Amino acid sequence: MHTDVPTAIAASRPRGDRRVGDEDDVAVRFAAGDEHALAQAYERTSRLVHGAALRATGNAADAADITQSVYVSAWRGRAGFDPQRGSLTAWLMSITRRRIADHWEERSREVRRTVAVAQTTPASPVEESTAESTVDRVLLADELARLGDPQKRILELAFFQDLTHTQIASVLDLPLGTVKSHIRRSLEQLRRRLEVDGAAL
Amino acid sequence: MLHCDDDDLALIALGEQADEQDRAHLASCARCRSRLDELTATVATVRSIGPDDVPVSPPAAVWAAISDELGLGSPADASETTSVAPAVDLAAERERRRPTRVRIWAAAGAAAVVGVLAGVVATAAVLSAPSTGEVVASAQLAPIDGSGLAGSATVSRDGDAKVLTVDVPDLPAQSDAYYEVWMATPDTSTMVAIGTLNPGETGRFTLPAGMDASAFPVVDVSVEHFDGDAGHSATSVARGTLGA
Repeated sequence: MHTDVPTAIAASRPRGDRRVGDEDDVAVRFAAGDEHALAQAYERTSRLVHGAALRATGNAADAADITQSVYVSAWRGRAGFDPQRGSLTAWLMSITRRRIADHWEERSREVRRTVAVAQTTPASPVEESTAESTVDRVLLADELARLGDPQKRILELAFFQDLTHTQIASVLDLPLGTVKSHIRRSLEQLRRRLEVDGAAL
Repeated sequence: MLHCDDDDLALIALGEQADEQDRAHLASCARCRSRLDELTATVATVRSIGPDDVPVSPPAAVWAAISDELGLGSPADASETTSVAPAVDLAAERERRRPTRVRIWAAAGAAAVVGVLAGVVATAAVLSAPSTGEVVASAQLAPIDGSGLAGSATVSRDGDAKVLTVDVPDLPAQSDAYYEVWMATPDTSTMVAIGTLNPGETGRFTLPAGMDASAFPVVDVSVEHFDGDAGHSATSVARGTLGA
């Protein structure tokens, strides 16, 4: 009976359409300089931005700084956001990736200064790729939590129990074709969440 | 040239064996290979998700700082803009178990503004049609996580007030827990405690006069324990979204 709360929400609404429509509207108004749209975008996305920042830095104060700087620079740089080209969420998450990477770069610079051993550590490509994947993992955890059943159950079995679609169909007593198309659609939906906006500030 | 079936690509990305035909095609088709690569990367990311990889709401001070730094909000709409941040978030709730209902109500008022701004308008139009007595919105409540408990909810008019009626027929009695009805924003980021639902009874709740019901179209029934914690337990048994 325990559930991540957003789960059934996705199940009970026609997938995507309405949300996408709302998001588009917010994105357009954001680009046009509507402060309410910034507030709405914050309301919708700050859990993702902050969650990723918190996970990446492991530090509440640093995470708060990153979250603040993401929205401040997004607002100031909104001229660089084109709602035609990608979603506002993707753009904000790209900025988040950048800010997390900046944070680390600054950290390693500090470390280099204090340790005064100015050797090794080129701008830490490892950490940057971790920054990428932290954001991605939080985004996908959120999207997974939004899946309704049977999609969620199917994906759990496929991802974490390593069952084949044939096994899943038999465990859940669902037609093979249903399982296949749920897997394809859900996976596609997850993949779309990872689309990036290269024009991040 | 016939490309790989999208269903098959998804299965291959998850680690299932590609059949001979798909293998041969993938060897020669860059388009299908790059699709497969993207799906495989997605699968790898999902499989690397750890328990700490969760969305977390920032503290309210963060929005205040943003708003401050950007000089947002003319005096007229400053309250709306700044009220956005404190919305109660369930994930954070689970971690930090917020103490008081007062706080949830405060956030609810704030979120009502957001909800309207956010254009949760489909139900808004429905819920604001003035006509006493009649049902203005209803929802089927679907079982959550195999609870097997389905039900229904309606919002009807009673004079100027709105009444939420909730019926979950097979709700089992529990000695150490009770059921609470909530109304939530579409993303369930903010939930308002409506009242206790007793097994075997139809719950009838007059909604608070100041509450914009249209901003809280999600009706949720949760299991709560007698622990003095007024926040949502995050264990729901049934849920649905009000619509016309």
